[in-house]
Amino acid sequence: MKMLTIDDSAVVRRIIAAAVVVLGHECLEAESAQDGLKLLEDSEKIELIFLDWNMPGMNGLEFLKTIKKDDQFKHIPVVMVTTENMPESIIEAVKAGVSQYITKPFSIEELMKKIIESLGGEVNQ
Amino acid sequence: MIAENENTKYQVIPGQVFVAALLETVERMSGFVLTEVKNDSESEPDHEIIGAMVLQGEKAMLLCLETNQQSAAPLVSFMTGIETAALDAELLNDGITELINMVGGSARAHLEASNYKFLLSVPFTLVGQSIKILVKKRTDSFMARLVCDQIDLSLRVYQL
Repeated sequence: MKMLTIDDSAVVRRIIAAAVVVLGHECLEAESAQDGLKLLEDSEKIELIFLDWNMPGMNGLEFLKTIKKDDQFKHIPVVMVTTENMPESIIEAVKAGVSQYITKPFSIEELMKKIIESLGGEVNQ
Repeated sequence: MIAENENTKYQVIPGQVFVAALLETVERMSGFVLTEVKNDSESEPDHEIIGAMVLQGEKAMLLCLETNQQSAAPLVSFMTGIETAALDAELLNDGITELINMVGGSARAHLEASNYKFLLSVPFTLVGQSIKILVKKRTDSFMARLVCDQIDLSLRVYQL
């Protein structure tokens, strides 16, 4: 499967990409929401998106709302990976259509568990 | 008793909240368990990377994580799984800045429970040889030094 991580931190993108690869999948990286939208349009069949909230330019929530309005992309599950840990933020993200929510800091085990859950338990397929 | 919606005004910087947030962040992201060093400021190494962010609330604070490349390398290596030799300065700087971003977010959640609310700025990085942040002498500040093997981190909080 092909996945996409959008985060302005290169370190966070590398952590997520490493976990995705360990689980047998491919991971594309974008350092901004705008770049993420371009990759979505240009790449074939991205099946899971990891999304930071606080980024320069378009933020993660705006990105989420944008793709959930688009028939081409609204079915793609989105995992928010963010330092936004207040309950009101989590509720706002869930209302906007996020599938899973990971607050930073996170362990690699938590991340991999969320990936597996997001895929309905399906790995290495 | 604290009235609803009234921010707590800390008379001193709640430094241990930030220390606890840093300990948790580093352990979860890298597996390293840091230990706080007491009264050892004379042997503090020169700093080459400072990750920082402003906490804007009833009182503004500047939150800083200061270290050098030798300390940052194993931390970022264990976070990302990338060999230390393959890490460039950009990744090291980004790793330290992301850590302070997580510390700020984690501390905010803990402090909100005591009704102390603040907004977090975008994190930023200062880099160079033997760099330090100077503030006015009467500014309240908090400092903690945390170590694990070759990792040596200084956490500083300044009330602005």
